[in-house]
Amino acid sequence: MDQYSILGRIGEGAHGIVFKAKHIETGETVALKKVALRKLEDGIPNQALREIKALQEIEDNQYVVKLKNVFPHGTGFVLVFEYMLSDLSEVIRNSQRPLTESQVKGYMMMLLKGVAFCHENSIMHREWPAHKDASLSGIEHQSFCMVPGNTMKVAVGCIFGELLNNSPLFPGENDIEQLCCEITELPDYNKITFKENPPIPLEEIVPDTSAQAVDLLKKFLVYPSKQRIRASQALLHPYFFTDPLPAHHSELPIPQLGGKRSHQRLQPPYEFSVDRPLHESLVDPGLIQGHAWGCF
Amino acid sequence: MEHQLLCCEGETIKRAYQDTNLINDRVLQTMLQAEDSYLPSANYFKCVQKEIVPYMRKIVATWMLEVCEEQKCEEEVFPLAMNYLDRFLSVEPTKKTRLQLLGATCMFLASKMKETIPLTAQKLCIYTDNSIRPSELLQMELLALNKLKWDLASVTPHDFIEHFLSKIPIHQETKLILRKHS
Repeated sequence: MDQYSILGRIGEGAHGIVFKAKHIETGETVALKKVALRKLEDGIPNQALREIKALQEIEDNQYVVKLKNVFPHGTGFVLVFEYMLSDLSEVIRNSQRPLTESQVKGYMMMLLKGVAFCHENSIMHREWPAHKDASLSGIEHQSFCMVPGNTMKVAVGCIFGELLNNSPLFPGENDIEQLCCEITELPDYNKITFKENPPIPLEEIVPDTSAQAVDLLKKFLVYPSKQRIRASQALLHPYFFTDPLPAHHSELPIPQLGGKRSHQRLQPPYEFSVDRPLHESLVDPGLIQGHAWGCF
Repeated sequence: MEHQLLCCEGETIKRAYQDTNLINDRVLQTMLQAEDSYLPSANYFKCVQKEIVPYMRKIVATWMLEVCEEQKCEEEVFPLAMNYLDRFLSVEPTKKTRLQLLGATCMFLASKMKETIPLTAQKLCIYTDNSIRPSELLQMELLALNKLKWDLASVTPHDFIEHFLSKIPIHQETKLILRKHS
């Protein structure tokens, strides 16, 4: 811990407090996630051990947050992540004007690229990320793609809907209420009673949305996982190839963490490189191979 | 609403069945490659350890196997724990009085990696005849994790058994027997 000087508190995640800090030796800014142990008597929880391993396994990728280090601290441990300027829930909650269609496409593309990368590396997560009132709260600060996976793709759909609408797609007071919108096939489903909920056409839930966006959304919100669209296929959906085209990183708003001010950034964001722009905003040709045939 | 959530799953631990898609040469090659990064050094008794000698490792290994068998741990727990033990001893000079503590810690970690209901710290301490305390075990856990670089997904000889069995043209029943002996 003496290797870092704390610069401030970023927020609180599901597992602990997140701090902004500087690595003294290199001067690099990082996010420190202090994980406290819930059950002191049995040490480090097994989920944490497995999740750290998964994070270690993910190589450098622009769209996936990098775990830089782990070290014990007190009775718990600290995860060191690369520092991110903001997160998507901030973007949605704090953008003064609604996001433009082109910006939504830009964010979706980044999200899908991250998920596709994790899946290529055989990493998936079965956590239901739709917490409380905002499906994004489950995807915390640094973790654009820390918890990707199968249900994650339904989650991708929820996030997509949220981006389109600027509000949660399936608002529910709690997880259970949220579930009733989607899951009816699980064995214990009947154990909880729900009011009869006739399906609402998606077009009504996300009004003012292009037909292609609704089409893609439908492909995400499919319960049987085999029929659900794959992240790599989704990146090839006509939605991303029709006008307005996805916005480039530099055109995406970055709200201040903590949500005090939100403004369109005029300068290119951190890590912007002129050598990269065009092909990074478009689909990686490698992804097309093997999918292009059956996709359209 | 919470009180209506009744859990109907029984006490028995449900295991996923063997995925035959994973028994192929591509997976085998990946495992062989991955195995290299989890190998302990072969000469740690000479180069790293000052007190610990091979027969002590044998004693602690026998004890660990007994604990795993008595607790009906998943069969991969023991080989995995031994891998952690050897990897730890490859990098950290350890006193012989701490060897059993290390053994217990390695089982603690291996069990967390592989089992639905892992061994508890308290249970493991009882198996040492209370010569170690749970607080020592938890401290050792952090030290071990640090020395193992938090990388616990070792490939062990146990992981290869199914692959090798699938390559031997023998009857299913014979395979079960062979599996038991290997």
